[in-house]
Amino acid sequence: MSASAPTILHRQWRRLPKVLRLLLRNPATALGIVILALFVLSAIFAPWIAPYPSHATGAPAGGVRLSPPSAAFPFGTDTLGRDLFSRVIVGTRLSLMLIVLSVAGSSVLGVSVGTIAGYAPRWVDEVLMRVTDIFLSLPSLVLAMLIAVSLGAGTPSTILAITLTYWPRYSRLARGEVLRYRSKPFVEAAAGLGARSPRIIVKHLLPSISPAILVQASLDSGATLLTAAALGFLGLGARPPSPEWGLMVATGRDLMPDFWWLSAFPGLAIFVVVIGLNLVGDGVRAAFDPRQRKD
Amino acid sequence: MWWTYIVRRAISAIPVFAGIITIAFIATQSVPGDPLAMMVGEDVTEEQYEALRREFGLDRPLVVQWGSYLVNIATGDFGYSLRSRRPVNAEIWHYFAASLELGLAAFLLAMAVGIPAGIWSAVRHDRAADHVLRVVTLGGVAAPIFWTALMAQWIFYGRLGWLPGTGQLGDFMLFSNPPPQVTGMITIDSILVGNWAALQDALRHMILPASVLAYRVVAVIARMTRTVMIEELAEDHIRTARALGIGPAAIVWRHALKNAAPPILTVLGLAFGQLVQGSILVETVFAWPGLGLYAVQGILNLDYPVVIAVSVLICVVYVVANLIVDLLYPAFDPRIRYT
Repeated sequence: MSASAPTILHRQWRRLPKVLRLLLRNPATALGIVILALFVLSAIFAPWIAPYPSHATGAPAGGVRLSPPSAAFPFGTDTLGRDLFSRVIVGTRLSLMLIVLSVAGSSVLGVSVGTIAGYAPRWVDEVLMRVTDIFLSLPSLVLAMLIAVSLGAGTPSTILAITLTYWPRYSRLARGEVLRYRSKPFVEAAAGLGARSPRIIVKHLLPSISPAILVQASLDSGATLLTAAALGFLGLGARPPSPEWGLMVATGRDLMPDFWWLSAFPGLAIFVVVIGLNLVGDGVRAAFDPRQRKD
Repeated sequence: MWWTYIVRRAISAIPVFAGIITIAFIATQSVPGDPLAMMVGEDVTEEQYEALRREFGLDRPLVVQWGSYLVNIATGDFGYSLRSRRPVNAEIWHYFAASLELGLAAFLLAMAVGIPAGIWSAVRHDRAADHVLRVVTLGGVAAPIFWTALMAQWIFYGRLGWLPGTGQLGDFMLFSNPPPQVTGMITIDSILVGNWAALQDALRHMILPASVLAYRVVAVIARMTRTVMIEELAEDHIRTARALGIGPAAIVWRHALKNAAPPILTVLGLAFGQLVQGSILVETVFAWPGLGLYAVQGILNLDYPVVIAVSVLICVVYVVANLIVDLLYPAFDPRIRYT
């Protein structure tokens, strides 16, 4: 019984080295990986990369206010004299955290609901899937706005709002995959040998459906960052003085024509990171889906 | 049978609406702060405050409030705005018309650009034009739309001064010679009364927000059109048509596009939904008096009847757009029938 689990795991993930090679061979995906690598590195080493790490939240004494981009301040300074480049760099930490926690939250919630729906009795499945359908047919930004409003502004509520908005996709996907795998011989064999449902789910089903979930997660991560930034921009996400990029774009908006750098650079940072995420997402999907490999 | 299909779809949409109303209701109930106190300020006595609470029905148990909300909204009554104290119904259609006007303009623009761009890219598969389109569409999907809006506003209004930056009409037009309110859509109202100056002004105000809104959607439409057209152009019947000497234009437009239409139609439905959402952010930047701006103001003022009304209306648009798409399928694919 337990001998089959490693084989299945193995079968699903054996392709991994090949997948990685395929990812790197595609120039677009390689570019995405480079962007993401820089993004993650700058999040890890932010305090050492940023010239003025303390500017991320606090205002410097006697700083130059609203200085245009220059050698000393590559992205210029804001109304409090804070170095915008440092704020954008330190902001990578927040953005990375937002993406990772939101995607993790929505996939864990969605996969749990979907797996239960696919494995439980018919009526539980019906109820869970109707709820999923309702959430799926709502416009995601409207839903995220409503949830963020009710939770109050702040980074944790942004993460929760995105989690509660994005989970239905994982739930549908996981249910479909569970239904596909639960009648496979290796699962039926495990059941026949007396394995209980939790064990079958954890040992046999979850490893089998994980590639599909991974693909969905990598496709979603860019949209996640865009939603978080939109909430920040609307004043429903991170609160000042947090160096959240969407919030920074919003703060610069009132001074827009003359002091363009205030909004331009934080928005550019979102743009570049989302491009990187989307390129890698497309690459991951193509690598895991043999039908799309030619494209 | 068309009609039974529509009725069935309408009935299946009921739980969705009940769901959004419930979510909106829970959301607005758990908002920190008391919207009524915020609205009346501090100059009221305890009795006056209680009277107002009763007037708005806020003293009833939550379940009762929720129930009456469901019933009222089902009959098209969105209640009173806590801020303006006017019926939401009286205000919302004005905003809805403005949003619809902007949304339709952006949608037509996106279709007019996206479908030909996708076809062109499919025909020139893996050549220069295809690569250019890939880069352009990649940008359209990845750019935060509120940022694109701000940048477009900065460049074309702030720097170059070519186009107006905010609103639907210029101040001069607004006070000297505004078109009458018939449909609420300024371009259409201007045409109805033959006010060409107002029409021109309205169109100039629409170019920036509609283009920004369309850009993201163009990307989605062009990508999908490209994918299905590449598949379609590789089909046997296309090769046969080529062998028979049919010209490339006829092959693309008459033979391939017709079969590629259903998936493109699906994406158009999805694209319209994205457009509705994007308009929330674009309207905020361009001070376009549409549903998005109304919703954002409602959220900032804790004006929950407004927030619920806008959420419901946006969902209606969403559901109706998808219904229209489904009803259009048989026009392109005779195999699909409604029973």
